[in-house]
Amino acid sequence: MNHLTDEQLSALVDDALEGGARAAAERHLEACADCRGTLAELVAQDRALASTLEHDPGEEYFESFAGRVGDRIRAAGLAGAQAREPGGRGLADWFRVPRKLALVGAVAIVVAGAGIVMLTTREMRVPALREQRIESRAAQEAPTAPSPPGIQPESRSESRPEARSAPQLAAEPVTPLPAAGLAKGTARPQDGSRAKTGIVSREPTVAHDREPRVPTSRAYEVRRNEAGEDVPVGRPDESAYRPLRTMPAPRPAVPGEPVRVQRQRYAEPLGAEKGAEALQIDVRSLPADAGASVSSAGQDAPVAVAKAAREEESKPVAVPIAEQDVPARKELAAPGRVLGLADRADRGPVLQVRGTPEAFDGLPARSRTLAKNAQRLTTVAETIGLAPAWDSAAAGWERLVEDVRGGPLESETRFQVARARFMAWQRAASGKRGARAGQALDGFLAHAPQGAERDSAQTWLARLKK
Amino acid sequence: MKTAPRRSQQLEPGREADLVRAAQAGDQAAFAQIVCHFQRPVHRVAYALTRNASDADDLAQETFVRAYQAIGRFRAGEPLYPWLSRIAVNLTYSLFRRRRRRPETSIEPLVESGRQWASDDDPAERAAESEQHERLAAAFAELSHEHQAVLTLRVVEDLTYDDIARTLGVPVGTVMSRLSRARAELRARFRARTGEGP
Repeated sequence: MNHLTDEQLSALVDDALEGGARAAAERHLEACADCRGTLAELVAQDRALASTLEHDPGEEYFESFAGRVGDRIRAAGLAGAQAREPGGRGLADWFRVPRKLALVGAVAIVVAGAGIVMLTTREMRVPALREQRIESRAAQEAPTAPSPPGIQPESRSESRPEARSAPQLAAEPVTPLPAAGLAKGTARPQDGSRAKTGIVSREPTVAHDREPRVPTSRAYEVRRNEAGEDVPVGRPDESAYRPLRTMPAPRPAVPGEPVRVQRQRYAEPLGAEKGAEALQIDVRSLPADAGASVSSAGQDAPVAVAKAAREEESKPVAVPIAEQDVPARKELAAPGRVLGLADRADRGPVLQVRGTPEAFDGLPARSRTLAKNAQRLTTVAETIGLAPAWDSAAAGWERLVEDVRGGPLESETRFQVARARFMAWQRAASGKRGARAGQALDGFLAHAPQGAERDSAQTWLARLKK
Repeated sequence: MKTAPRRSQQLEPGREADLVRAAQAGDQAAFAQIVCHFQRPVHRVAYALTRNASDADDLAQETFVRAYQAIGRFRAGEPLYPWLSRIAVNLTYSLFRRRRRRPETSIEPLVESGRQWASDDDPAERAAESEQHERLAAAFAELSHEHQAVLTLRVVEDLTYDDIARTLGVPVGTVMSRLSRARAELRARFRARTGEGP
């Protein structure tokens, strides 16, 4: 006896067999206990699966759902498809559709590769130029010491141009360049001059009496003006060859006086923990009233104006780096941020986040696990400070929201969600992140008690809207 | 093939098309009505595929955001729900792909049983049934995404074969064969866990 196939049984479950196929299947079922049993199992399995996969978040959830969708649409600044011109697709579409984005990336790679090949090829042509025009031009400007009779000119270094004779150079052709190739320069040839161009190479150490203009070891094109001088064709990137200026040594710091520091430099975060953005230290001019103790060690111990990360507009506090002043560090940490980057130098920074694990001890095991996981993700995010890490942290806290809804930890959890969403948006702003942050902040502020957390959330929301 | 849906995701005849046309003309209130009508089924699909309340919330909202962006290209008169559920399914696939590339958490997979229990259930019976549901959810999570999707649309959403075909963008025959394989594989995996059928 041939049993019913999986497809027949599945169709029977869905009551999708018709006509003769159905009649034949029913006849088989009357005679086959195995197939009857299998069919009964499949029907029971469907029922159980429907029950298992269903989840009703409740009326309250759906009452505000449309509003949240609207917020997200508004935050993303979407106009809706109805506002589009038929067939009118902007450049932005290429960056929204993954396939098109991949195509754009492929084109960019090809272009970049071609550019690299071109650059490499140009560099490789230099030796060939040396053999021909470089030699000739270098020799042209050299003292007219004729070669000894019988000696043929060979490939030489341009630092010995005396080996070539002037009559030989006069016979060599020079390649004219199109006028379009000329760029602004200090020694631009006069209009109407019958200028010709050539290639000259100079070593940076070769002192030339007349033309110390572009000290470079690279060959560059020149054009001869009426006065018989070689002037560079195009605009040499002087900044690329300019010798580095030595930075003036800072004046020794004097207590009570402002300290001037060159531009912006980044000092090591307190505790010498690189990458800990919670204490992004910015060395700038020291406010006279910052109350810092100025080290007399001068540039070895610069005075840092430490400020908390961008989202925390805390008052700048002067911190002498060398002393690693711990109280100052605590002052930097706003509520909800990393507290105290380390007092234990041997074990690295101590990272503490709000909402200690003990606060969630009263919850069921699954919720405790979720809380612990969310805290771990938050710690990671605070350590590395990248937007995806904050996204993960926010997702971690969001998983906990359902479990603590209506309880004393709901506000705390929602604050963590809002903070993580806002941090993610701040690290790498996007419409989606902005919408999520706005939604999370609204969710927290809807039931948040008065206090520092509420103030922070309002500040963040204002910044988000701005 | 005729398959009768147990649930009704459609609005009254003509009403759905009117709302779609109004939304295409820029009527935000009409789009809000579409959201209100379809929010539950879209959320059901999202939750069934992710088994995670947070992900389901995010996916359901994002589904309507995408629908808002693209509703100008939707042909009024066609059933709206298969189109919405297709967006939801595709977003879920994208989420799975991202997760595979960049795992976010060590709690993986996070299976939340959505079973709601009455307070007067017998605790022993409740525990046994809960265990069965957890095993079934775990077996379901082991299926391929295509099999999960087709089972969700048929078993949870009770869509017809035609609507499932529209949603997944495959022929009806493929829906039938995929559904039968998904059921058979789920049964086998569940039996492997328990030694019996559900």
